[in-house]
Amino acid sequence: MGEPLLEVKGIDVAYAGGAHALREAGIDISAGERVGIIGANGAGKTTIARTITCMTRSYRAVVRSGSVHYDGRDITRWPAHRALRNGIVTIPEGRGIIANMTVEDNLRLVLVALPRNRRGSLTEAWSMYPVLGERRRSMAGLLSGGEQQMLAVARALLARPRLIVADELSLGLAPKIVKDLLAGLSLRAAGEGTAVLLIEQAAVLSLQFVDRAYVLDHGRVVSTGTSDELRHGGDMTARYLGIEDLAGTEELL
Amino acid sequence: MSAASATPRVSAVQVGWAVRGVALVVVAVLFIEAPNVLSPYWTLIATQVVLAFAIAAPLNMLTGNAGQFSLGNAAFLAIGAYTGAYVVLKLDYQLPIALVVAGVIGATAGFVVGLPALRLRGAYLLMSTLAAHYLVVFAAQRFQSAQFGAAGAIFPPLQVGGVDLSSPRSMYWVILAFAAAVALVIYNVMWSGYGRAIEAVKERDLAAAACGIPVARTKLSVWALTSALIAMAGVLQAYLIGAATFEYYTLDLAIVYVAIIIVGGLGSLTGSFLGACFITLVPVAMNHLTEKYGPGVGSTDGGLLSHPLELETIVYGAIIIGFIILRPEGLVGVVRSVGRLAGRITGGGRRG
Repeated sequence: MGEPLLEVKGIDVAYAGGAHALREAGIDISAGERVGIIGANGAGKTTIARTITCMTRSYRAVVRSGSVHYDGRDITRWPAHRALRNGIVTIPEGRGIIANMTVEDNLRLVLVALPRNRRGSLTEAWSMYPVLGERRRSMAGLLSGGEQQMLAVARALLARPRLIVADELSLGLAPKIVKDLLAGLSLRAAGEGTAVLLIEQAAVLSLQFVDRAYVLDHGRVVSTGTSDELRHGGDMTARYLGIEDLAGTEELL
Repeated sequence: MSAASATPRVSAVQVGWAVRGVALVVVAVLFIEAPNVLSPYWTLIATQVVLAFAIAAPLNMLTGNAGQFSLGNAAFLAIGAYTGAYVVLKLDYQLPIALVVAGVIGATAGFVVGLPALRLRGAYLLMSTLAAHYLVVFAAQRFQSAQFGAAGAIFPPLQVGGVDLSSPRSMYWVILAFAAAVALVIYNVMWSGYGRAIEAVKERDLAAAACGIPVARTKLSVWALTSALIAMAGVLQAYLIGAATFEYYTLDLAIVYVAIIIVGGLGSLTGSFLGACFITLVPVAMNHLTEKYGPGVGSTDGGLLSHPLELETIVYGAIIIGFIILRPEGLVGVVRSVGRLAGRITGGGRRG
């Protein structure tokens, strides 16, 4: 493999309140790859998403040491909008849609920040999720949970990302809807060579969609491997995730 | 879908735009022609309404659209007035230059006053603008006594390029032109991508940041833009009054403009205008009321009507509380409800 698209090295992140969320964590992702980060509550998953998308400052967190390199450039101290403009796009935890804006305005919002050559067209979003097209003038807050997440996915794709960081995409949604969303996202990402970093508490679900994954615990990467290795390896992964046997939990979905 | 509307139809949207276009022309003509019809007294009242709109509209953009609560507007008016006074009286330039300089200094001051907004919101932000208000008024007092003396900065009659614009009619047109420019700027900004970013930052700044909106830059630019517009209006206000004196820029003055946007409707240009009409005309109505029904000047037994100023304050307070409780969307909401009702009565069941 050549140079990774994204390389997080020995990153240490703490919040203003004192919580030490990441401790020398390191991950890498190559172009077009699908990588998962799994871990229990408080493992530091969301913090690593914020670090990669340069959102730490918005949450009053500080990168104490370590670095994030993207496309060969050190982006550790970049502002969030610069990261987005360069192709790192997030689907934030809780969807991050603006409830009091229409569906269409939510989508257009991401276009404001982008240079012309990186802007997708709204018709792509409507063809991917026709329901959004039908409800383009509805307030986004009136959409169902699944539709809101579609909106978040469509909005991320509109920014023509090279790396999508999806944080807890499955949160509060029916497994069937999550599977459809992930399938759609994977398909589009594969078509455009976009790398996907899937950050999920739902480990079983996540491992079905990624090529390989990192297991995070108390801010450290404690295990890594391909999805198959993590599901069947019988190593400490299951213990960290509080699941007895990952291989036998398919039915959870 | 249904066979309800089988008649050949121009689309409802086209009709809507045509109606709006005609309405805009009619309104423009009415505004421009107003001083030719009105008496000098009512021309002055109309000037005050238009000026109140020009001050309230940027404040409404800041508070209603961008969600930044501010009591700093009197301070920005003072900044504009004193900048204008210095440029006109000390540097000997005319109104256009005074407006530009006031705009630049107002924007800079707005940027600085907006800095706490990066950390504070709601009541805390309001407190920081309150501090800014007293700081500016204090500075204005010192500046006034150092530069212009105790009586304040007395403005000369308005002249631009040798043309005398000091008559009530000319003043009205000058201020109307400025107000129209303010409305145009705000309308264009709010219907642009930048306007969408401003709304997003108000609604959920973290979500906006995730969409690549530079939150800090957006907030500060709104502070700078709206403060520049208010400061420029401050120059015209000082010209209209004829002087800049620090005693004029009280917290009460700041609250009047906040009342305008609350009564008119937050985040709406039409709301700013309706609020400006309402709040400017209430004292006028009170005056007429006391003149007509109140006791003579100096009389003590006329009840509330012998205290027009107190009565005005009570009525203001009651109106604001009434709107906050009963009509939080302001006068513009009332007008929209009436419009919908009229549409239902005249147009049957139009479906969008």
